[in-house]
Amino acid sequence: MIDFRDVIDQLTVGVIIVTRSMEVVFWNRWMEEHSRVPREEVVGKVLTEKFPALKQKGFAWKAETVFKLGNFAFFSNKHHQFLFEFQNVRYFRPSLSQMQQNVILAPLRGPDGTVDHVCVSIFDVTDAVLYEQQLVESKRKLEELSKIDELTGISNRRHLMARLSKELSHYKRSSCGFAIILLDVDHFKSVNDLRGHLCGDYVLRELASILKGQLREYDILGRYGGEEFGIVLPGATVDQAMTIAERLRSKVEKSTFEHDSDKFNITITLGIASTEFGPAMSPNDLFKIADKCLYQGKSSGRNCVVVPNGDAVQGARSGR
Amino acid sequence: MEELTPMRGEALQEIINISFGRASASLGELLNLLIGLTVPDIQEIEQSQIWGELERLVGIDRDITIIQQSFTGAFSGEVLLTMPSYAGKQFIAILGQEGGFIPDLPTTELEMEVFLEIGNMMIGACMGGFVDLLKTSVGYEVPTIILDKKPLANLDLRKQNNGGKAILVRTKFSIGDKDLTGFLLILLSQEWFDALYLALDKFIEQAI
Repeated sequence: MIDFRDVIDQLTVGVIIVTRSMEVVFWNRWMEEHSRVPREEVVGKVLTEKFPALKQKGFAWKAETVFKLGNFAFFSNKHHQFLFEFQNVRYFRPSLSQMQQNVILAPLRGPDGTVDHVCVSIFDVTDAVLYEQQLVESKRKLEELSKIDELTGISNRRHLMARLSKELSHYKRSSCGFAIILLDVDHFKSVNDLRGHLCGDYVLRELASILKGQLREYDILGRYGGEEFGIVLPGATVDQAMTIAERLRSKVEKSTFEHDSDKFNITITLGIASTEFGPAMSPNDLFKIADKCLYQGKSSGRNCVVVPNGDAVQGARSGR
Repeated sequence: MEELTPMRGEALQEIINISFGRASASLGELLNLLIGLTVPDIQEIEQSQIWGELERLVGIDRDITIIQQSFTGAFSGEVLLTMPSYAGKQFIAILGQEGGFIPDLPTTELEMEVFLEIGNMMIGACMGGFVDLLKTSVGYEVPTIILDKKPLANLDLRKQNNGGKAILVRTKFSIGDKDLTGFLLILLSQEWFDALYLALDKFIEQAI
C-alpha cells in the first residue's frame, strides 16, 4: 500500500495544505528543505503568522477567493517573482539571489462538495526565468547589432531610414518639423587609390567620430552607404540645419587625419532637405532632395553646403 | 462533422449562464459589491475567424488587455479573456477599497495583477460550468497577460492557427456602478469539441 504523503514528499514541488483559518495541516519535504523550517515547527500554526511576508503579497485574500469561489488562484512569477523568499541554490547561475516561483492555490473539497482546504503548490521556475532573461538580453544585443554599421559603429542605413520614418510619422501627428543632411567625402576614391583601402576605412571611422562629436545627443547619424552619411535633425529648421551643416563642414576641413604617419586633410559636401519645403514625403523622397543638393554641391566645386532652392550654395567658397 | 446546433447552443448558453450567475453572486459577496453579468451570447467560430471577429467586436484601434489561461485534464485547451484597458484602474479601486486586496507591488505591476485576478475569476466561473457539465475536473496553468493595453494588431498570436474551433462568449459585466464589456474565447481542438457535444447531448436528454 502506497502512502501518498510519502509520494508528495518525493515531489520536487513545494506542497502546503491549509485550512480556512490558514492553519497548516501539511508541509512537504521540499518546503522543509527550502524554508529550513521543519514540518513539526509549522504544522498546526497559522501560515501567515509564521511567514508574515505573505501578508504583503495578498496571500490571505487569494486563499479566501479559493474558499469562496471554489476557483484556482495564482501568484505569477512575472509580477511577484516569488511567494516565499527562498535562496536561489544554483551554484553556477547566481544572478538571481531568490528562487523564482509560480504558485497555484487549488481548492480541496470535502465530502459535501464545499472547499474546506486549499492546496498551495510552489514551482521553482528560476531556470526558466534565467533562460528568458538570457534570451531577452541576446535579442537586445542582436537588435542593437542589426542597427549598427560595422565599420564606423554608427547607425547603419536600415536603422537610419527607420528612424527617419519614425520622425516623419511624428511630424505628421504633431507638425513638429525636422531636417536631414546628406553628406559625402570629397574625392574619397583618390584616398583609397593613393593611400589604400585601410586608410579609406580609417577616414570613414574618424569622420564618423568627428561628426558624432558635433551633433546633439538626439540627432541621428548613420552611414547611408559607401562614403555617404545621413543625419536626421529632429525639430531643426532649415536655418538651424544650415548652421549645423556648416559647422560640420568647417570642423572636418580643419581636422588633420593621420594614418601610418601620413598626415592629410579631407573635405565634405553636404545637401539639406527639410519638412519645411512642402508636405511630408516618404523618407526616400527626403533623401532624394538632399541627394540632389549634394550633387549640385559636387558640381559647383565641393566643400560646401547646399539647400534645395537651387542657388543657396554656402560654405567655404561662398565665404561662410 | 459535428456542429453546435441551435439546441446545443441553447444548452451551452444555459450552462454558462448558470455558472456566471453563481460566480457573480460569489464575487459580489467577496467584494461586497453588486456584480452583474448579462446573459452570455454564445457563438461557435473557426479559429481562423477569431481575430477578425474580435476586431469587429472590440475595434481595431482600441487598447485592450488579453488574459490567457491554459487548462488541462479530461479536456484541454485555452481561454482568452479580453477587457478594455481602462478597466485596470477601476479594478485596483474595486479590489483594493472594497475587497481589501492590496499586494505590495508597483502601480503598473498591480494593474496587471488585478487584471489577472479578475480574469482568473471570470475564466474560473465560466470553465466551472464546462467542468460540471462534463462531470470531470481540469487543472489550470498560471494565467498570463498576452496583450497589455494595446490594440489587437499588436498580438503575435494572431499569426498562429492550429485549425481548431473556438467558443466565443460575449458578456457585459457590471461591477458596482461601472459597466464593462469583455469577451471570452474558449479555444478547443476538434476532438474536445466532439466530447463537449456528447456531454451537451446528454445534458439535453436529461433536461427533456
